Amino acid sequence: MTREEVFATVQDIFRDIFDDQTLEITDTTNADDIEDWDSMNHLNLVSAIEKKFSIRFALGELQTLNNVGAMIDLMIQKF
Amino acid sequence: MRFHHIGIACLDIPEALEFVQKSFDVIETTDIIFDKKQDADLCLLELADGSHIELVSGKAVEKLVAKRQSLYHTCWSVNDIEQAIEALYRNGAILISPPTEAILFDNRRVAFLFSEIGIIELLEENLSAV
Repeated sequence: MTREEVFATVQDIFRDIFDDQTLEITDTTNADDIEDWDSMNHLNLVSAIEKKFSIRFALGELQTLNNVGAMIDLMIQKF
Repeated sequence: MRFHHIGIACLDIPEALEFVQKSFDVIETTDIIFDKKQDADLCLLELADGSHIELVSGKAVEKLVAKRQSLYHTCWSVNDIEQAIEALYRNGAILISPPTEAILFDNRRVAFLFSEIGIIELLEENLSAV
């Protein structure tokens, strides 16, 4: 799976979680850019990503995920 | 792992407390305590049937309250909190906050996880009390 393919799937997940089919994310998108990206939706995102890609983020790893690019880079390390 | 209490998010603890006291057989109520680590006001009630309700208000639950979602968490008491975290993690839960002392529970440690059944609080057993 290429990074672009991962990115496209993650974008679909963001659109589902935030219920906005026009939402466009970039590597630098972070919680400040999306109004409803609160701690609960962050957990919903992480949970949906783990299920979709059959990966697990390790205990304590989530604190390092401060934007979309960091999240995708960490995901790719787990494939 | 043993069920301990349900955590209810509310806008105003005294108001919620008044309702619960009028509606249920409350036998014990703690003071309303501000827990700096959780950034929340907390109050624990014990009912005559032995069940417990924790009322929670403040920044930690303000988004839930705004959405009128009152169920905040279920709490389970455990002998070994680290082992319980590992077991829930293996089953797909995500650690929200690692074990930390909780003023409402005499500084016994609590941890929070996100799971398929919502937020789970783990409370370290008070092994000296039965």
